[in-house]
Amino acid sequence: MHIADGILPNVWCGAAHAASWGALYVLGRRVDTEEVVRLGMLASLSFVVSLIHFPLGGTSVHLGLYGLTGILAGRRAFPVIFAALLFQTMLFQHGGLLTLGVNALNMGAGALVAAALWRSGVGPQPVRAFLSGAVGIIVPALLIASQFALADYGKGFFYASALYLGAAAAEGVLTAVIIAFLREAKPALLHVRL
Amino acid sequence: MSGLFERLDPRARLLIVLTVIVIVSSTPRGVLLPFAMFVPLSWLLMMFSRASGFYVLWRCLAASPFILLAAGLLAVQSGFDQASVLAHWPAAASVALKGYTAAWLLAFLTATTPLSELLWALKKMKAPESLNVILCMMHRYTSLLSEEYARQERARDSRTVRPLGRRRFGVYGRQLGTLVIRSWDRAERVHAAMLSRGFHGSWPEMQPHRLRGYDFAFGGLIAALFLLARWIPF
Repeated sequence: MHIADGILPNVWCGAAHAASWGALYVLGRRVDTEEVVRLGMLASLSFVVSLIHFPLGGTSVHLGLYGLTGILAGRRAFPVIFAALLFQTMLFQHGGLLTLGVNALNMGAGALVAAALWRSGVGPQPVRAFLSGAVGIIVPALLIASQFALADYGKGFFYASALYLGAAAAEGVLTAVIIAFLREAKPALLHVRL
Repeated sequence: MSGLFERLDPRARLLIVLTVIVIVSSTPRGVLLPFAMFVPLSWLLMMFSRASGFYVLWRCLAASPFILLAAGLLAVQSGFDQASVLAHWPAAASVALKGYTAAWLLAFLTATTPLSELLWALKKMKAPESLNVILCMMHRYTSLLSEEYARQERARDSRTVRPLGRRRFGVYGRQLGTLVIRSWDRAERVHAAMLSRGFHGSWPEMQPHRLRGYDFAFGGLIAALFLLARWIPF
């Protein structure tokens, strides 16, 4: 789901860069030293998780776990995802320098919606964890599909993004299992306010 | 001995590649002629460095899925019949060429500039301090966490005699949960160790590079060549 350079208009990419750097300054300010070390470790974890290919329906999907990042990092999920995407762009050419802002806003929006859903406190925890994991994938997929439709690529990506429903369900289940495990093994981790 | 490109300040390398990507991406859809110049110029840029062409080509193929998907969607946006695909193929081809040229340039940048130098360049270009620290932590700890996960996988495989089937969600979930806890614990240990060494939110920086006239001249020349290629045919 990383948009490469040359696909979206330059003006959009420039505007998205400005917005994402602004969001980075706002959501990353007043971070204390302990927090920033945790965020760094969480960004490393997010990067490592993106390298994991999970078997699903005869094929494999690579994990994003943006929902889990949102649950663990709250509003600080945006700087974490920005850093992980920058790393992926530089190391593996997933995405592009020009589209880094668009990609960060797409994935970051998924994580922030997941964080809001988790912290809303509505409904039982396993259901919230599942939904947070799923929206972490669905929100970026819908945003990318809308951007493609607006950039005159037709509505094809909406159909392509239907393929992500399976990945969203898998990430929802995985996120629910991880949260249940963390609640048993280290509940304090779920109450950290970053 | 390093190539001409590697002798540039990392900030200049980053800005040159970004500028060239902006110029290439600004080519209107359906316009293919400038690529007759962009491709050789990108190759020429690589000749000024010690990067391997095959390595850069291999790396830029990583961007293929998304580029080909975008080009394919553009080609079939009005339908799958031959006439409408043929009507849209120049636009699809230009998007694919823009995507691959940009991916080539990005792969070239990472082949010629170590990650530590790119991080240094971002820091010097006034990226937020929190981002710099997060990136430096990632640079240091990503390989450690990858090894940790690989060890977990080996342990899981050695204890699994049958395919996981439906249990795989539970097994993978607990494995990832363990990785989260170990990462968190490691973060606390690392933080304590950093505090004991006088860490107060940022690292002292060294100044291994500086911008010279050579950086501006090289950058200006490359940008001018790509700008000419972008506008001359029209």
